[in-house]
Amino acid sequence: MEEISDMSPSAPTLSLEVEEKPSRSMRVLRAIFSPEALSVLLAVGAFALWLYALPSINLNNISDLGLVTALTPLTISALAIIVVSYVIALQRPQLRAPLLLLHLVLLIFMLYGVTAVLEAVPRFSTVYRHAGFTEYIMRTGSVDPNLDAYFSWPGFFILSAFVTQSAGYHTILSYAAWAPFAFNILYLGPLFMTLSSLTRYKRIIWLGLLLFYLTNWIAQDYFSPQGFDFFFYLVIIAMLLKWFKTTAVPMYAAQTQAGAGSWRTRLAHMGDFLTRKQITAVEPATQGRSLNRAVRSILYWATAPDTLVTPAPARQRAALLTILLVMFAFVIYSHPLTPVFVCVSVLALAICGRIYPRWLPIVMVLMMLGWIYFMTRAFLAGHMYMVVGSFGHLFNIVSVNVTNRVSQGSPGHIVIANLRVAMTLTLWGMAVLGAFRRLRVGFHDISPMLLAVAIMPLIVTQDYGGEMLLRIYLFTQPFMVFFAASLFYVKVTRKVPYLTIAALALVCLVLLSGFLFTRYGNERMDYKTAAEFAGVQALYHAAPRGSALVALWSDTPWQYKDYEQYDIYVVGNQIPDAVANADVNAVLTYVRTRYHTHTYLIFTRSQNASAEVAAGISAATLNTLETGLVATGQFKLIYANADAQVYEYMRAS
Amino acid sequence: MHTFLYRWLWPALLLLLSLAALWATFIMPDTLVRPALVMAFLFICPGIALMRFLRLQEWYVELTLGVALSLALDGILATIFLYAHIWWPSVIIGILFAVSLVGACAQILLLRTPPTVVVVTESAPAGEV
Repeated sequence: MEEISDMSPSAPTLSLEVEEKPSRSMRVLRAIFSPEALSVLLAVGAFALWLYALPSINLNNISDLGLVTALTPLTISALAIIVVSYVIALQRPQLRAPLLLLHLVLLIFMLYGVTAVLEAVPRFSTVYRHAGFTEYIMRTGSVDPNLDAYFSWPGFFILSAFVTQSAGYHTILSYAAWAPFAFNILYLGPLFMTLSSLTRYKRIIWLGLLLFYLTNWIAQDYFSPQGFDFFFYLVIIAMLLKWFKTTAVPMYAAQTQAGAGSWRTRLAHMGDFLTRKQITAVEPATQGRSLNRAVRSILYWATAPDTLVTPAPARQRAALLTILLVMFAFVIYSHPLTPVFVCVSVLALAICGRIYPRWLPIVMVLMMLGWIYFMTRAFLAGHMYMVVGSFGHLFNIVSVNVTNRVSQGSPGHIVIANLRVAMTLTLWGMAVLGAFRRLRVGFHDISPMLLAVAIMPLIVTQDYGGEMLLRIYLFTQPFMVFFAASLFYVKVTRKVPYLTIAALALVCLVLLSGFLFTRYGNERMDYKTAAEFAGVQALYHAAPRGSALVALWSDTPWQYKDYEQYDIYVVGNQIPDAVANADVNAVLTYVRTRYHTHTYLIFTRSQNASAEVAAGISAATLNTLETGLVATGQFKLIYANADAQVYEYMRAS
Repeated sequence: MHTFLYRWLWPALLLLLSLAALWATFIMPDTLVRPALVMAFLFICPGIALMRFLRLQEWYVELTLGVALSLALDGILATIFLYAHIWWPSVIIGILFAVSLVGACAQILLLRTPPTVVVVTESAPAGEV
């Protein structure tokens, strides 16, 4: 502070007050008790609490409501603390990215790495099948499209075979349990890029990330090609939204550029249309019929340019486009569905003039069709009905994807299925409200709206084994969470109202609760015990190559090696009523008619759990069936432990 | 300091990780750290060795695209060898080592200064920063 004082009656004098520097100890105290330090303490403390509570979790307590019934109050409290700490950190006037990142990484570990820490062997029977594909490639150095559909899209398994062998492992089972954590960490980068390309408001970006991880209950991120390829989908879309957005030109300028209407001129301008970086902005009509004005208003809104553009030199853009196509080249032969989603999304953006070059989706579609035509004919020849048979049968598709899931199974499973529908509708509902809020303020969120809805019509094309809706949810999720986050933050403010903070914290805690039920709701049948896997290993040790391996119900952790050497049969997939009614004679006839020199029967804990949870068939029924089959005297017990029994069928000579 | 770090940090990390993975793969294949070193190398090095020549602004963008490109290159190279009926993972990883080492050295020689800062242009509606 400066004040002017007189040394003489007439002349002014100057005196300065010097502000005292705080002492070193005071500075240290301020740093320790700063909001950022307290936030770090909360996050790390919650993680430590969660680690401390883990040993007290007993997986035998898992019920039909899933893993949440085995979690202790301390574990759940730790999750709640870190979520609330994140929400509080989000309200700081100046956001600290390292602080928020620390929260997110720890939260991802706690939510997605919990099963890898708790369970002795990887969960999901499908992971073991994927281990078998990878082992086949490692052993033979080749793929066989006649063996399984996945060998027509073998990219992910070729990569995993290469990585596994290079790392010195013999099987992916050594590390596959960590796939959900690793994949979700991978998703972080492109998600941040995408959200940053849609808004510069950091609170929306970071809240969007939190909402993504709290609503990603789909669980497609296990060791699978679809979980892996979702990362590439995110990267491709992020690159397009960051560097390849179009800018607008006024309509009258575009008209003069178009010139006369001769066919030569039109052909010349088609080339320009495919490559140009500019879209034609429609000017709103102020006169004319109301319908015409309404249509032009919608077009004016739809052709408005995106507000965030990252300029890049032409050479850099060319290099980025090349890299994008290299990534897409890997995607087209890694998974059958992901390239379709990529093409549809990119096509929607290109048709609506949001990105350039407009020839990009054409090239992508040609690449995808090229692989399908030249490399998947073996699969398509025998499975054309599976690919196109459900096309247009919306009622059947909805039944397989939704109705059957919410009406079949144990009471606990039905609750979980309904919770999943509720979670989906909650997120989509929040997204719709957020989108409206942004519309009212004046944002033109064309690109994220397109990406949120473009792939939804694919529901009428294929049921994809009852999983099409799940995949659509996953691929629209980044854009849904963007709008859902916008529900809480629309205008930039330094200080967020306390009511908003409280509402946000409550919503996040509700979503966290929903996540724990919906993501791990099938855990009773999904998780595998070490004893079960030991039984499967004993089966493979005993059974000569060429044997028939039979299970009463699905979800056995088998096929992890020698994939092509054994014939696999699941009685419940062929004659489910015989299993449900414990019809020993029908099952015995089924086993007898496998006509292999050697036939083996395996019973596991997860078969019982799967039958009970997913089909409502009690464990007592399967046990009765097992006892009845053994009582026929035609099965010799060759291995048994608490969770698995292996029998050899003694075929009558 | 910023220029020094830009020129030397990533290339040093690439060289270090590549050499460590090389050692774990060919010289001490039974070492316990082999999986961690080899996976870290395969997931990061080949892509970052090439991506930095694009001179992207943000480090997290560089890292994200570097990892994606690494995974794609690993997969495509392995696929080429598989369909050529030459399933030799040691040769494939050898090629990736070469790409990473050459890329790291080229970065030291060619990428001496950080890229110039480019302003993200926008015409924001009211309320959006």
